[in-house]
Amino acid sequence: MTKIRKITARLVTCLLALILCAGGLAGELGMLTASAKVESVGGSKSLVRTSLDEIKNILTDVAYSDYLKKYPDVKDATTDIDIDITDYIVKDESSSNSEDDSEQETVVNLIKGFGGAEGDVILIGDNGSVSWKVNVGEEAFYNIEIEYYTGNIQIKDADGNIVSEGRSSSIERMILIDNKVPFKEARSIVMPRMWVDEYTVKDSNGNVKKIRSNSQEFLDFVLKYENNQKDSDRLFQKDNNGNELKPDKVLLEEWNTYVMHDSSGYYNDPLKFYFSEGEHLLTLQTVKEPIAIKRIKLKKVETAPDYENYLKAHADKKDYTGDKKVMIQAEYPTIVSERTIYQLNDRTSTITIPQDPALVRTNEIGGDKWQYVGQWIEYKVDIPEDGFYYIIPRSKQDILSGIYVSRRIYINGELPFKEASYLRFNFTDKWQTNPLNDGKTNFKFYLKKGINTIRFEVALGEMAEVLSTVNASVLEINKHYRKILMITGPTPDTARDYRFERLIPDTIKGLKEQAKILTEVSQRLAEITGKKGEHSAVLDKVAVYLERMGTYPTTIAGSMSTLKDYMGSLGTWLTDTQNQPLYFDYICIQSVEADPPKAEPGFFEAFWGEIQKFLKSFVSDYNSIGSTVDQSITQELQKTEIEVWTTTSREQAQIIRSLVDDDFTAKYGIPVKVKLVVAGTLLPATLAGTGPDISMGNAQSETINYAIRSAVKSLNTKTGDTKIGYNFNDLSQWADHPVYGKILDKIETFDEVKKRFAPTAMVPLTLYGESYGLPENMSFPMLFYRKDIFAELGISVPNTWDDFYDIIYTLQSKQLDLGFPNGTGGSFIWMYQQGDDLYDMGNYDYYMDLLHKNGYTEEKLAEMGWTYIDDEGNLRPKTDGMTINLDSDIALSTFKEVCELFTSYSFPVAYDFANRFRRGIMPIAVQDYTAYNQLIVFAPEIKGLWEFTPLPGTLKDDGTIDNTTIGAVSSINMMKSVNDDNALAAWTFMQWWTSAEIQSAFGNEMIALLGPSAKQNTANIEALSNMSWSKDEYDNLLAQFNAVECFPEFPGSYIIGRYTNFAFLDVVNKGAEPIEELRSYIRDINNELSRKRQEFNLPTAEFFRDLINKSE
Amino acid sequence: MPREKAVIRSDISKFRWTLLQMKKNWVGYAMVLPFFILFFMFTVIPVVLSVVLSFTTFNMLEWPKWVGMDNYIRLFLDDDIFLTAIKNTMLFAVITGPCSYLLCLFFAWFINELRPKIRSFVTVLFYAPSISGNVYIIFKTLFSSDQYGIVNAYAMKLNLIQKPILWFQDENYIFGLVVLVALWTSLGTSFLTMIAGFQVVNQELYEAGAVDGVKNRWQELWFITLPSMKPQLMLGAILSITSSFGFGQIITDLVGFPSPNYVVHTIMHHLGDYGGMRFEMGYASAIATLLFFMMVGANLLVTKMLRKVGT
Repeated sequence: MTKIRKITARLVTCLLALILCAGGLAGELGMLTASAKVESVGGSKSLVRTSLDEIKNILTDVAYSDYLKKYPDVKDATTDIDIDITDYIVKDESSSNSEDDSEQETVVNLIKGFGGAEGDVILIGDNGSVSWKVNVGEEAFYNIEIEYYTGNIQIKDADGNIVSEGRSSSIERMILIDNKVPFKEARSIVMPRMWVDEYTVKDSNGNVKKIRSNSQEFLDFVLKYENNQKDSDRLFQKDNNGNELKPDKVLLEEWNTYVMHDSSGYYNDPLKFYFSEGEHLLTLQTVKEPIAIKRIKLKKVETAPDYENYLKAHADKKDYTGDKKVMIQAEYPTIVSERTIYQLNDRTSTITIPQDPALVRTNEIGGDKWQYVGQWIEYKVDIPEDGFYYIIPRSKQDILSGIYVSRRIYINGELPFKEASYLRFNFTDKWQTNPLNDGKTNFKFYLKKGINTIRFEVALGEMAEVLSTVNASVLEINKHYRKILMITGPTPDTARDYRFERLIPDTIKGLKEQAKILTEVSQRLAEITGKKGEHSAVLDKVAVYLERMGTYPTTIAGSMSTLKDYMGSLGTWLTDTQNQPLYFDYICIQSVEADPPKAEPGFFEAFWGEIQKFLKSFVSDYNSIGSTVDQSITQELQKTEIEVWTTTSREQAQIIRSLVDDDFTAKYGIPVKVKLVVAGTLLPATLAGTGPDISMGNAQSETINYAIRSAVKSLNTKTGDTKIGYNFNDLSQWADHPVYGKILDKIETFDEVKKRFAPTAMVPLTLYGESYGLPENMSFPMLFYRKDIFAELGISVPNTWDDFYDIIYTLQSKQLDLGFPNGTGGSFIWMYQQGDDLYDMGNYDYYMDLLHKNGYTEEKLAEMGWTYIDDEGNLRPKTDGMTINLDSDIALSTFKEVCELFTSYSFPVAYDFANRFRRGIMPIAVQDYTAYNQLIVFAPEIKGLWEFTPLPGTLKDDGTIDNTTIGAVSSINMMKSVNDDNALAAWTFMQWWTSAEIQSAFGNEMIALLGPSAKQNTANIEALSNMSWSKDEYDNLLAQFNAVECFPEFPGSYIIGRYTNFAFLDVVNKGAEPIEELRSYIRDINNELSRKRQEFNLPTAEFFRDLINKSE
Repeated sequence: MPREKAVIRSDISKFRWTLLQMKKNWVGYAMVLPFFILFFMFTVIPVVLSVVLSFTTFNMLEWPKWVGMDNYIRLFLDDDIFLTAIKNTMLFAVITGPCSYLLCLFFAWFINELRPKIRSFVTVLFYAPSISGNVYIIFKTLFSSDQYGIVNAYAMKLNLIQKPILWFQDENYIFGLVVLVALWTSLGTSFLTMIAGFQVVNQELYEAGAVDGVKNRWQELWFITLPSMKPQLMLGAILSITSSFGFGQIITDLVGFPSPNYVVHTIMHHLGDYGGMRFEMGYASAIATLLFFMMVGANLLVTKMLRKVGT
């Protein structure tokens, strides 16, 4: 213990010293690396890892439903309690560690009149927590209402530096009362942003105008053309081909009042918090995003009346009897809660308004973009006179078969009656026009004359209860499963009687209890949906199985693997059923008596529509990715045109296209052709001479592979040979060019561009001084771990590999697995942490001497192409990478250690990370950080219970910890098809594409289009900070980003992975001795390297051996 | 007007005779032309080209350089892995070629004995694996290396093994598994042609055979059935042999590329390795040329053997 403390003390001293040094030289990227490395060295601090105590504080098993049951006699509050937000208390996350508090402090700004508010506004940064004292007069349940700012905000520290900035993602906070999380659901309270559409409209004079959907102009337009079917009456911008494009989304900057709800939607009413009489501490702890708060209050619990009382309350009002049908096209929302909700194109029905037989008309909204609980869409409608109306959306739910989806409706910001939370839309593959209903009654709504706001929000309706019960049950069963697993291990011995009923009687009882619960739920589900079907089959299956296991404990051992499968399908069922996709075509508000609009076309109408589509299909072009810019192209411009190839998805290509149109062409005026091609086309196309000027998204090894065969151009060559490449550090050579001359000051040079990435990201793209590409994406392994399981076992996250070895026993004794990259995947990480390289590098003077001694003059070497000038201007021989460095002591010993993890420690060689991590049987794993994307979508039930941090490090002699990881990049390359005319245009594109602005725009667009799992792992450091990471995630990521190394690529490098894998498999499968096995392959690797080098006339190890032999 | 004298073969040279015949039968040639153009462009030219390329070094991105026999010399004298590949290819060809051929034949024979309705059902059942594309990937799920993989999990449950076996990563198992999958998928086109073959046999021949003293079903099969379906047998054999030589993709899908220690490295893999990964098209062409001649040789051999059927 004392030793650890000593080390920690030393570390902290070291840290302070380095921060002092670093502070002086801030701004320089190199130093950023140093200081960030230091941050991660600080290790045990909460910056990088949540401390054990903290985890325990926020972990609670209490579900909200049980929480309510805990206080059966407590009434709902009847008075509001306002909280004075200026009287806040900043409680620091790491107040126990006094040394580096300055780093950690929660930054709070109080600004009067922020965002047009009258009083003080409190702005809270995106880490730490802020508390308020609340005096509660009566013991009761309260709702919590908060008024917050929906725009992005900036938080400044005392010196005026921006310390935290909004990133446009949802604001998320954890609620603690008296320093404890009252119930599980309070761990994640999500406060939505608001987004409006921004339409680009050209008026008759050709002037471009932007119209926002929350503006009066928009409203006038939409209300004027209620059924605007004619093309000229549409607001949507069109591309060259005449297809409609969806408008941009703009973050609305306004104050929003929000009563805290359960973010998973399991409870339809706002969350109620229990406060006893007296003084309490209410804490908002940051999960994501900074927040600006105008007002917080404990609100009395208000419940909407039920439908009957609603009608009674409005008994004096009459039904509307006029003929007017108020129609609002669903593709014209005023505000939506998430940018992923955007207009879509429906071609399934010919009467979806509007419709074109060939062209894209954005005529519907929703679908799987509008399926997560809490997402809402708001419309404004103009009502002719006061009265009761039917609200009839033309809707379709054809995704979730057998089940219905739910929506909640707010009219002018209020829930009109209780049943309005339970609106029901049944499954059918046809469009429907039913008045809003809950499956029994068609509801009529009282609307005032004039403009009314209608908001549809995704809710779980009656399914909420079912889902919350199943969710609780899944967690419970998982816990039992782990308990059993800790006794039996992953492969239970079926022949053995483990005597579970004595060892874990509670678990046995628990299994039966869960069986009962699931059976009840299944019955309830059948009642709700009106039939038993496939959707309840999973529940029944699991219930029967659990019942059997609970009744006959001897069968448990044999049932474990089946139970595991069932749990998986139960989890999937849960995620699937929670989704509530629904399409809207339009919303019609009309009198109660009138017939609803036609839902589907008649036979002949549909028939004629299909015929039209069929005929049009012969003449229209569905494939080209149309541009919105029409340019009059001069001959000079024509010459600079570049062609860009991407192999990604159509969505991505479309985003690239629109970014090019909106930004690139506007800025530089250079025409660009974007083409979506199939992977693997690049090589044959280049061979045939029909390749692109720029190829995007190439794998790391491709760049050098193409480059040594002169298929890719160097970007910084000093040779002046345009066959090799161009020198984009010297842009003055284009100063007189008619096109480039004007835009030259907007183009960054190669050296400037290089600074955007981690320095190591250029390494794999550079060979002997020539850089052949720019990194686009970069990914690397980090450490994923389950907070809850670590807290349960009382272990902390390893800072060093020694710590890592220490926890192996604890975990394995509980039959839990550790995930570690196998073979050299792991050993290279350890190798680089100990400061070793993969190849034999350096030693230039020795080789130069040797060459000179044997009569190779500098001129002769230059002629042979065996030397190059490096970045510092030194003459170097091309000797790097002649042989592999796997025979070094470090390489061999790390390989051996890694092999032992798989042989002696029985780490699994093959495993499905996401699945095992989700179920908690692999609570710690070294995994590529992009696994984050998979986990947030795939395993929502463990949200907030896991974290990823920098890798454990190797403790060095000087007491510092080196936690280097191995990165891989993908690149954008300039192909050999460029010529002198468009070379700079190509470079302009490359430097534009990799810029922070465009990379973040692209990343955010991708998330907007494909959802949170599409987060890009951009290589641009600045752009990374603009992605929607939470503060903790970003800090961890940045710490690791600055401690990452990439392998250089040399001719023949493909052979290394192959042979080292052979060696590893021999060790694991045949029990071979690791060191000897690896050494036996080194000769083969070196031979291949030499052979490839000979092919490209590069010096080889054999050549130098001969030289030495000769001279002896 | 003198009567045109009929031309006979011995009057003119062979070349002119051919031309004359071609002119006379021009309709036939015109009909064959479209196919012949395609065949020539996409089969004959590439084969010839690859033979030419095999005497050069060609990295696919720069112009080829002539190196004479270097590629072949290296192939035979300086490439251990190529020898492994030849060994594996031969083994595969010998095991899967004849095995799958015989399997096809016997299944076809058995199925032919069934009643028509059941016959079509069983045919679909047997033919299904080869029409359903990459369905053999199911074996990867079955023999997953994960301890929760199906075979591993059951074997561990029955205490047959203590640790999960890395099925498709462990040299001891790869070869056997791959042969298994190969046989499973091999009941393809040749199987169908044989079933068809069985059905076109003239039934009168059996009666005649019975009269002439055929004693049992075996004799019936050998002396009547098989000789009458020689064309189908021929097609089946050629398909089997060719596919057993070109059996590379399935291995790559199952084992990955390259296979551990090259245990199932075939000539096809070697070709892909040099052509696709190392960009040495010249060398890869040399390999392809050799493979081409091996296939031609094997097919000649098979043709010769099939002549013995029924004798």
